Amino acid sequence: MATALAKVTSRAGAPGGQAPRRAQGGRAQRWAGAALTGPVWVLLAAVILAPLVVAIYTSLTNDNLAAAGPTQFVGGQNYHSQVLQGSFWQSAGITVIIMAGSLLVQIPVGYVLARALLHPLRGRAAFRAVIALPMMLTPVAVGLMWRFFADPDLGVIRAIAAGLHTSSNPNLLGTPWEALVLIVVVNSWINIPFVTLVLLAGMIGIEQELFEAAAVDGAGWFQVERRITIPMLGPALAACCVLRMAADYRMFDLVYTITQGGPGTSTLNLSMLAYQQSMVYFEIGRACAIAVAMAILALPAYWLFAKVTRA
Amino acid sequence: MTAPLRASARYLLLSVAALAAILPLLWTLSTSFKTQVQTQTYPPAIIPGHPTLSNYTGLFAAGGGFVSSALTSVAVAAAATVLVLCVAFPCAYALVRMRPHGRRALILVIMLAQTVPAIVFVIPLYSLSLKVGLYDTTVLLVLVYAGFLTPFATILLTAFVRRLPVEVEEAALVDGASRAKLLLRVVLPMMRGGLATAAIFAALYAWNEFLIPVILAGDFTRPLTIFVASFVTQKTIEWGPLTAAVSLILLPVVVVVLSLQRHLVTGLTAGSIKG
Repeated sequence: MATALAKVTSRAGAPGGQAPRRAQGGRAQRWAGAALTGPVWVLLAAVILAPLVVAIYTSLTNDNLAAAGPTQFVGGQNYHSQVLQGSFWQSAGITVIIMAGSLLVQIPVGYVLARALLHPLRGRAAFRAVIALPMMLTPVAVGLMWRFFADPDLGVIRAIAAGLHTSSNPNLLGTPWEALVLIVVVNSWINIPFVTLVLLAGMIGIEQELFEAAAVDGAGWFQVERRITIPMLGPALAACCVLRMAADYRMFDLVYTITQGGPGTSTLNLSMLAYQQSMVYFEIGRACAIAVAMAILALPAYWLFAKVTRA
Repeated sequence: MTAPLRASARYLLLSVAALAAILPLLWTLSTSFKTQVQTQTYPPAIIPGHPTLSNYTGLFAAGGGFVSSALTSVAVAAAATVLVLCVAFPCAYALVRMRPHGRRALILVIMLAQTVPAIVFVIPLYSLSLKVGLYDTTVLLVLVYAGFLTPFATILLTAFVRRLPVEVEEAALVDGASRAKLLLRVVLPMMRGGLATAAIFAALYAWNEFLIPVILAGDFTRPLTIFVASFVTQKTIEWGPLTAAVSLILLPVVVVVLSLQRHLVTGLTAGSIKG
């Protein structure tokens, strides 16, 4: 997929470059092609472009679904009150903590598992199938599942902690840091399979002779990882990091089902903050300001994303 | 490390990972067969003493909302998947083979849709749909699901179009086939694998979707994700019915993931971000 988009974009960017392979230049042909893209244009105009314009405009108004008065244009007021002074930056910090924590868990664990699955081993296919299982599971259902495990009164996590004879009665959902850790753990549980399979696909691409040569030369495992696997895996690792960060930046389902942003606001990330403003307080103007600021804050990531999908 | 030692280390590691992947699911399944009293006992029993189906029969009883939610989920996922394939396939073909007018702009919009967090689009869609009168309708959900899934499906399908041998198409054109005929009779059959991959991902994502319906669905169009999430907002959480509902939502996904892994690996990176 990565290369697909890259080729489409690069050809678009360099019209003088590679000659089209077929009679692609014909005027009628190009209009016929435009007609074939028509339905996608219509759909994206309705679901992506129009809402984007509305979001930017609404963010400059005091639109409130609960208020009776007419909506007024208020300029940058929402950005001033919500983004510059409000809880936006606290939520941005929580978002970054969740992203960084998830990356720190998912990439190393995914790497080690992919490495363990790389070379032939009896039962390897079965291991891979079971390890990949959580990959596409419904996040809401998984969030509820773990919310159940972490239940302070009945949860299995409490039972396990008691079995380990820890004196404390863990209430993961009641303590800020532990709630954050729980979200990172659940997020990792779902997404480690993705990282594992992508890195495994990258490792399969590394030439087997390199490993054999290293073995002949008597290289230790650390040297093999440092000098062969990790350098050769560079693009796959980068792609994994960027794709995971982009997905975790907008995380919503897990926070909604596990903590609802709590305790207090200690796990209220950016998506959840925008959701609360819109669906709990009906402050659509403010919610749009938060959402637009969230999109702007991610601008450097768009550049990274384009770079990775091009590799 | 010596070779046997290394192999045992790998076995140990993979076994721990496999258990970590599967035990939470089994625990949830086991809880779904416990009675109300059994789910309220601490410490919890690993295997329920007298397994009961009451949590499941309770879900299917009239008036619970589970059945209508399940129907909504199935209908919306199926319709959105079909719509996505119908619009994305010709678009992907045109982007690769025909240099259509507006191509650069379209690629930009697709990138935009892939990278901007979905909530930026969904909140204004809420007020827009209220104005247009589409709020809380199946049509709205299908359109929005499809719109959010089309960018990734298009990207995925361009990769498959590119792999097709252009000579086959040229031969068909020389034989006097029209573009429409070429697309349906020649390209479509060769694209079965790609379309299957795109369909699996689209259907899974539609089945799993939560952010769109939590904002755009009201009482009449609640899919299963909304139904099951509503358990936690109640005063006392009934874990028996909840784990039963969770098991039923996850069951089709587990079946698909286990039986179609080959397809999933192909679309992995394309599917990882979708609005």
